[in-house]
Amino acid sequence: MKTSIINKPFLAIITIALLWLLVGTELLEARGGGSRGGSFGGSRSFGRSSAPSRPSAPASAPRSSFGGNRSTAVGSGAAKSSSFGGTRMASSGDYTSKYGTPRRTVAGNTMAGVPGNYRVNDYGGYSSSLMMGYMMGSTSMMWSMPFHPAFYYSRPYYVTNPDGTVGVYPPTFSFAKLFFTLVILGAIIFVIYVIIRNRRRNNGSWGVTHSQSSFD
Amino acid sequence: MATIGIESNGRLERTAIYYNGEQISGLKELLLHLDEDGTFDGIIQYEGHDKIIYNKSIFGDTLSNIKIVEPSFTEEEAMNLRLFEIDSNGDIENTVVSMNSEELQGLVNLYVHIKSSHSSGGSSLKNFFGGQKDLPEEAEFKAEFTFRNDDDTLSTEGIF
Repeated sequence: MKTSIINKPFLAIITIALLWLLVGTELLEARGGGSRGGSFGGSRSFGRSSAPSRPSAPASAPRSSFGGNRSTAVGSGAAKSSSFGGTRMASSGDYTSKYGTPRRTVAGNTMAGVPGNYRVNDYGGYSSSLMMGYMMGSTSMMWSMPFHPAFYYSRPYYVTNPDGTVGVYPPTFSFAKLFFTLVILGAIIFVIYVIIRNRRRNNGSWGVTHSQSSFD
Repeated sequence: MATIGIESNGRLERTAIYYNGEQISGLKELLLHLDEDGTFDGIIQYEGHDKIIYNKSIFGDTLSNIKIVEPSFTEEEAMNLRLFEIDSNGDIENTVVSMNSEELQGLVNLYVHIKSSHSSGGSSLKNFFGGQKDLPEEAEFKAEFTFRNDDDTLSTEGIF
């Protein structure tokens, strides 16, 4: 009797794995992130709830903030706000201490579709290109696919400076995302390997072909 | 009366079973044990169209839902095989055994046991990922008959 090799539990596993591959790591990035707080979802890691509300973003902003009143932190070095779905930092020093000073800083009003109070920090390279893509809203669904390099990068980092400007920093490469992707891909490859192996064993009955036999 | 035929060269992978002239498939096990003392065992186990495993008496039951297939051997291939047939109604007194269409006489005993190998692993998650740790049941192909010679001695021969 031939055994059903691909049964429902394994289809479910593969489906869950693929969903996790496409969505789960995004959630991980947004929720976890160690010291980084996600802009959407998760919990705030800093800021005060008693802070006054901030004026809404300009209409030309490529993405809106959460909507409604939002709380900000006050004081030097403390983060006040976040926007555009990027990753929020407490201060620009968090980024520059790891990646150095930017090659140049471009004011947002010189770029189409970017609010004037934004200060885009260009470090050059692929991550800066991604940042520009995010800033100008020219992203693609492909960026959410694991076979696109952008998938392994975070969203741009935003920090609200005490003077009201918003510093934007390029995305960073996420080794955690790469690790989980490799693990999931490895699991999928392993499942496929096991399916092929079991099929060979079952069909071949350990190397004996019964194609002309009345016996299975 | 039913006729069971076995066309084979002694290897499981080249063994076709015929029931009333039609080749059948899905077989798991076939046991024939006939003796002149009246012993008459003819059991067949097969998987039917409905995926159910049936255990039937070859000469006493109707082989319901058995799979009928086209002959798998060409005439050229059949030239290298032996065709062993038993025509019976389940009574040893009404049993004719023939080899390559020639009736045999002086049979004392006949024993045929053909069993395919299959794994009892199942399809659980553990078995799926753990591979088949349990070795599958070994295939068996035993077929021999015993004749009484003119000098009343017995000689046992392999059928195929």
